[in-house]
Amino acid sequence: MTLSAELVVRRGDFVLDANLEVGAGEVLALLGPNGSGKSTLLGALAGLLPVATGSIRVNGRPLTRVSAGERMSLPAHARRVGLLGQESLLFPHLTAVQNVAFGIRAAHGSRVDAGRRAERWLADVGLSGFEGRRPAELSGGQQQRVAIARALAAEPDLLLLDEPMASLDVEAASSIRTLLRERLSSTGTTTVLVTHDVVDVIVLADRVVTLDSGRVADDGSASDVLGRPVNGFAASLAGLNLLAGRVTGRGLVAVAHGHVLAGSGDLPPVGSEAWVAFPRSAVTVREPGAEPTPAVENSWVGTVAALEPAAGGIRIVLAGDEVVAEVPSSQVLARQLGSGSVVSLHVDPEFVTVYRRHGRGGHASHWEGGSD
Amino acid sequence: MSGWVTGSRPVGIPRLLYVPAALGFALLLLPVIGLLVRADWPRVPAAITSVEALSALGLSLQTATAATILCAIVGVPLALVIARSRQRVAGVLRALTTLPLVMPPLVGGIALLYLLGRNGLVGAVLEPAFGIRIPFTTAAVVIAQSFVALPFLVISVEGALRTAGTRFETVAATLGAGRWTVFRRITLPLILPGLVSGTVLCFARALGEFGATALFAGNAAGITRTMPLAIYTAFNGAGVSQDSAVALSLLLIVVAVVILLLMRSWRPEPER
Repeated sequence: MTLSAELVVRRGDFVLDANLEVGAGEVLALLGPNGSGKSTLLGALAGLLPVATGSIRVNGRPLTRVSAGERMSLPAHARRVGLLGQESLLFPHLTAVQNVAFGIRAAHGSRVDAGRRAERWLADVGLSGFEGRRPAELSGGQQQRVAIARALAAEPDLLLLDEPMASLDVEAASSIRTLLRERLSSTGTTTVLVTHDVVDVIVLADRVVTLDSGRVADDGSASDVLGRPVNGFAASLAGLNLLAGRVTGRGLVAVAHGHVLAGSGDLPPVGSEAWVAFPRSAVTVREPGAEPTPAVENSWVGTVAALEPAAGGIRIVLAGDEVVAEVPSSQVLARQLGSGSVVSLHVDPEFVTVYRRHGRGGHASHWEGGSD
Repeated sequence: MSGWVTGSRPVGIPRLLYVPAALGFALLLLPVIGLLVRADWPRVPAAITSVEALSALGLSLQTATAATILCAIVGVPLALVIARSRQRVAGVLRALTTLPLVMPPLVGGIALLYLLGRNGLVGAVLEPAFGIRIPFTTAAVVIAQSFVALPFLVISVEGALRTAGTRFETVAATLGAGRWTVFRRITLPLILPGLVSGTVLCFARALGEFGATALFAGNAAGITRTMPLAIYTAFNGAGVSQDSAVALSLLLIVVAVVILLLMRSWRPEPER
């Protein structure tokens, strides 16, 4: 099962112009800021939004083919493309088993057979004994389990998941994530997963594509896209600072405002453009002048513009600088930091990764080669 | 999250509002009580079991049922078309659909006569070509009742369709269900409560219909004389029969209330 899509979709002023390839049984995570076109892309794949030009093929079967001389688009029910969103949208007038059987019956199969298969599907998602429950009698996590069973039981050629864990609490999300990984791999379902959660990417995805303003911004493995990000969105998702600069020496990169960073990594040739990435949590806070910084590299002195909540602590944002530090709240309390405090930030070179600026990503239809 | 909102006591209504509420209730209920007081009870049994009364009641029930079925058959699709149209088109369609609501039923009767009468737009063709004559027949009663009752069903069903939205239908389509399957197994069950209340309103309006029927179908005993027309006839006859008009009115009220209660208490069985 392979998805191959080349699409231009217009919605008002917004234009989505993206090519996407997903291999048989592969789970592709689609990342991007709000308004980057993720939902538009899913809508077009599902046949719910009109495509301006382009084509969508699944397993070589054309679902959409729109060009100057041709306008073909299968309706949603004939595409064999499943869709599961944040809300489970179980049919409220049907029981759990009837919900699951709906897709089986709609596609094929007799009523009795559909009922038996639906019961097996419910057992597979850990809901044996819940067959006769109405959606209103199930918890949010249970509803989402039924929705997963329903979506997979229809045996789609392509499954679209639109933040399926986003409305669940942490525990339910974690167990649904595990269930999805198990079910997706046992059924070998080709999947496109839209998410904002880096855990989803790590647990579920074989490959990652980031979208930005309707275009593919990056395409690669999770460790490439999140470990060596090439755009601010992926970097912030991974909790990294990302700075653009030019290599000035061995492991030295000059970035904005005359700062120089030392690090390791690919060590691109002197004079070439490079990315510098380092974890926000590796940035330490010092009071300026308290101890003279031995090297000018890897240090910033600035005014705190804002304190924001961060996972396990507090995020310090400097005014006029791109660098962000994430520190335990105890540090902020001990130093009585607040808006307007002057601080010195520092990152140890061992946490700084330097890599080439034009290695991958862009408007590529297919990701070729691993780490270059 | 906001559990305190759902679990808490309601804020309550301003006490002053109980006065107009009571007045409204009195306006609706006192006339019926007046009728009960005015009734000549010893003669009620004879009046409501007379041949004329039973014939009118039977005709009323038959025609109102037929009109309600007709309204459901054309009204549900009409509501669906309106609900799924673009906003501006839907607005126009909705306004046109509710025209009979703002029109006096008598005007509706005249309009139907000019459409289906001997010299009417359609009637002039129907009679010579097919030998079909509609005015002053039982069919005319059903048409007149449908004309005035259809908007109630359409408005109610359309509201239910809007509330239900299209999200469940979209999910059903992505599961492979075609349009008919979605309509039959998702759309209809989801709007069932709205359809039931719309049908109740529709039936009640058809049962009480007088003006359009009187003009378009006439007042022939056994053919077009439904309960409202029988009551009118009794009331307008010699003064002595006013008592039987009251008795017939009571009968119509009781029958209507019983039927409406039965329809409202009906709940769809869970699908097997």
